[in-house]
Amino acid sequence: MVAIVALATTQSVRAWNNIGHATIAVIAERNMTPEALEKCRGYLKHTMPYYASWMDYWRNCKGFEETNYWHGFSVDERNEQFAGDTRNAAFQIKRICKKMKKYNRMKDSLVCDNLKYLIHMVGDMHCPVHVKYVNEDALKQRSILNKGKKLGFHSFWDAAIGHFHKGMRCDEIAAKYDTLTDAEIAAICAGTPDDWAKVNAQEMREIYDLLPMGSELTKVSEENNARMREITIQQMLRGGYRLAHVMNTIFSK
Amino acid sequence: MKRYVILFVAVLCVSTASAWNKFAQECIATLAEQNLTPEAKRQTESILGGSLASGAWWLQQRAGKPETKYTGAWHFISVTDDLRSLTQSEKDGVVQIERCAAVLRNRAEQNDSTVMATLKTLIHLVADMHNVSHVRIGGIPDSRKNFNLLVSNGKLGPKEATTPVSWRKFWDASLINRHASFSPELFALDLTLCYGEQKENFSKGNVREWAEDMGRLCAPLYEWAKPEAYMSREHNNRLELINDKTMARAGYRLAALLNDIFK
Repeated sequence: MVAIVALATTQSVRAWNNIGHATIAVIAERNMTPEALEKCRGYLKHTMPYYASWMDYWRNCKGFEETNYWHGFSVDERNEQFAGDTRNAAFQIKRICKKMKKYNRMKDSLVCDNLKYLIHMVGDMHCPVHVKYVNEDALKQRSILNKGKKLGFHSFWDAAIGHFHKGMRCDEIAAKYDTLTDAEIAAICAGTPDDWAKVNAQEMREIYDLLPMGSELTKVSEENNARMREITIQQMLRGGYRLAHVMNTIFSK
Repeated sequence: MKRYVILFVAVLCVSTASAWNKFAQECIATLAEQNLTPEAKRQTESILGGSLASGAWWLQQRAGKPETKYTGAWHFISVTDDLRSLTQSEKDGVVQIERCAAVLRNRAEQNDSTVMATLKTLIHLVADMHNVSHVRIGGIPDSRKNFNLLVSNGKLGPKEATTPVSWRKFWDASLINRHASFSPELFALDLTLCYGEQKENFSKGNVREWAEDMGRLCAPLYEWAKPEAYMSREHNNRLELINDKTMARAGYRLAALLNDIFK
């Protein structure tokens, strides 16, 4: 088990790209209570989309190296995270949410930094390729082809929100899909970050069948392409609504 | 007006077209629009047939055409080595902004197309004079050049690599493109949230004083910004704050100038 945890925690992942993160943050802002939104923007001195990719820009800078591991999570064959693994998004979201229960006793700058981490990580843990199936060779991320040129499987999915919405701004994409009912949103937000991780782990196995390694992106069947788009939108909405839920919970006190 | 046109045409200079990119221009114009008085908004809308943002890119399109290539020089401003704006050169952005303002104040005597072209020119130039790479400082030769920086890809150890990025491209596009998926309204909201409290302070003074303010802001950057200078990701990140600050200054100052012209 020690070896498995060590492997799991040495893997870092990239992130939804800028438009993906920004869209998720816009969806979150649209679903926050007025009080939570005001407080959040008050600490950030910015909108949430502004800082949505902040962790990506700082991840390799001095003092931030450890955060490289906080963009996704690793699971075993039963879709369970590894006991003792703290270098992952789900754990870090829980850790920061716990600290933020006392946000009004913290320095403003620390609250601001914690918010920036949450904005990124809640979105990122929903990126389809941010689940690492560390013990399963069939689910290793390699390359696909795009018009004959090599393209990382991971890179494709990181950019999927923009790929499926070419020419649209993040706020336009958010407005187009943020149409779920209160009951549907409540169902998405139920549970803990660990529960969300487990469901993501169960469901994201499908993307490896929809777009097998080495396959040509331009030759994906219409059916598979439609399903990939559906998964992208589903994960984007989950990220946005859950981020709103996290922020509303923190600032409800 | 005839004199005005002749002077514009007479300024023949070879200059590469350079400006804040279209998105940045639209963000600045949108911030300005949100800070116009109702009267200034009514008049500018009537002249442009749309928002300030709709006219923000017009001058840049002209800079690429042979017959109006001379306007390329107007996108830059100069301050002396003691950071004063004293120039009377027709090639300077500050002089052209003053000229545009004079034409617009005297708009009753101009034809509609002149007023429209002048307003579009003013919108663009007030934005561009706040772009760091468009401020030329006496005694700092590098501020007149478009040299390459070596910008890190932000990776650690042996995976780190650098890419040459021109000084102008860095300030015209690289930093603002981090938010290129935003609508201009969304980015203008960010500028308001961050700099709204400084609006009055930013808006004080006249175009010359704004140029001098930009000179003071830009001069220290050239202590490290030189041809082939290495730029770490951390340094890159920190410069975003300067870029935002200059965009906010541009937006609030454009509004202040238009509010004064269109009383």
